[in-house]
Amino acid sequence: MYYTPPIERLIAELARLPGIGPKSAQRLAFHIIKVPLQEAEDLAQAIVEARRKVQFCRRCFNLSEMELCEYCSDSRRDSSLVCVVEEAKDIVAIERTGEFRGLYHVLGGAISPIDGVGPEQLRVNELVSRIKEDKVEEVILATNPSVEGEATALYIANLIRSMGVKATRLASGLPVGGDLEYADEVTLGRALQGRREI
Amino acid sequence: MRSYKDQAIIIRSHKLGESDRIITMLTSEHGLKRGVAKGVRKTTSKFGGRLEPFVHASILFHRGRNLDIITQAEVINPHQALREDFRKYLYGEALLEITMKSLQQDQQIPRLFEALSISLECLEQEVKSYELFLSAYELKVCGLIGYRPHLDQCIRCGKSELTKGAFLHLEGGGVICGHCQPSSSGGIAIDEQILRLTRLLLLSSMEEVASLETPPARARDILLLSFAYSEFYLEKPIQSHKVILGQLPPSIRKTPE
Repeated sequence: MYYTPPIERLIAELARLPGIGPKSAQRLAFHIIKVPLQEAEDLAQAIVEARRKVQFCRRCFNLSEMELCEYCSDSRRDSSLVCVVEEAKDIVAIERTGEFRGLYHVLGGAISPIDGVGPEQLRVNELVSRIKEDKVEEVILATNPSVEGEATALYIANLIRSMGVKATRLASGLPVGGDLEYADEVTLGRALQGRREI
Repeated sequence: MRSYKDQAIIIRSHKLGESDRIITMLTSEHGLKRGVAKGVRKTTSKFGGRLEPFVHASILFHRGRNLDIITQAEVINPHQALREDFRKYLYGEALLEITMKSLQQDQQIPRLFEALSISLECLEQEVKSYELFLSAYELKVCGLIGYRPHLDQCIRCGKSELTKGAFLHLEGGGVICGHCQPSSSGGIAIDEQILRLTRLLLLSSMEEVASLETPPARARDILLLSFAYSEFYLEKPIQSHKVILGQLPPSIRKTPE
């Protein structure tokens, strides 16, 4: 043991966080020791409060303080339109566009066999039950445009098409402000396939 | 030379920091490599979809202190069909995982890159039995790392007549005849047709395997056999195995013994 026990414990706890190695944990621990006591207490309180109060929305599995999240409890939203995302943080990205007025469904990841994640490990069955019960007419598959996200979208599309529900996928193509000469073959190919008349 | 070029098939990636990724890939000349792709998660990244799993690319590396840095990537074959069909994706991921787990970091096994490249190309085309295709690949990879199963004669007595039934003996790396099989040794019983078909898988090219057909229940039994064999010799659990078993048609679904 090189440090006094409370610091050792703090370093050990911080090192358990994702993306934090022993060196980063040590740097963060020393930062916490240096800041005023009130700031350290605020941080500790924020962690405990978030952990205690935040739960999964009963319907869409977004993070929420209430049983139903702010989107599911908003009666002005179109409940026949459901946007399927991988993680709760993706909802924020879509909400920022101001273009979507439907509801969400958070899967909790994407199908990745190499990581042992199959459809059973995601909230796919919950989505299927929701489509049946809530009379959903269209499901927008907004999983990431990665190989795993595409496979997840394919799997869900096959599943819900047999239920007579319209399945759509977010368009993918060239980023706004990018140069065509730097576009990779996969993205450019997609952009060509999904071209539209102007 | 601080920079070098090599062909690679991308296996998987992990997030690193704010916008980087660590890419695991099988290269043609440097074996299994991990390299850092800086800024790849930004939508304006020059790499775009070039460093996604299944992509066969020509890559320029710059030697780093721990991991090498990927500075350029040019697509040779994106294996697009594997992204557009769920079953092809599922079995393709299993091919990538078994390849990755058969090697240590920077380890090079002759012909493995070629085997993976050919198998991914075959998988993009029509495959009659995905179960047989994956079984053949797993057994062939075991062969390439030095654990080819001995299926032609009994590994104890050497007799090639296995009429009284055969048992796959994992520790022995092959089959044991009914006479030599002690009741308590726990070999996996295999019937004559499964044995014949498994031998055929080892002798055939992946192009030939892609056109082989067999009843689904038999294909499943061979799949379970190859899963048990590969996990035993790679000494690692293969995550994609349980996902594949969960996606088999309900009529032939069975948990491994």
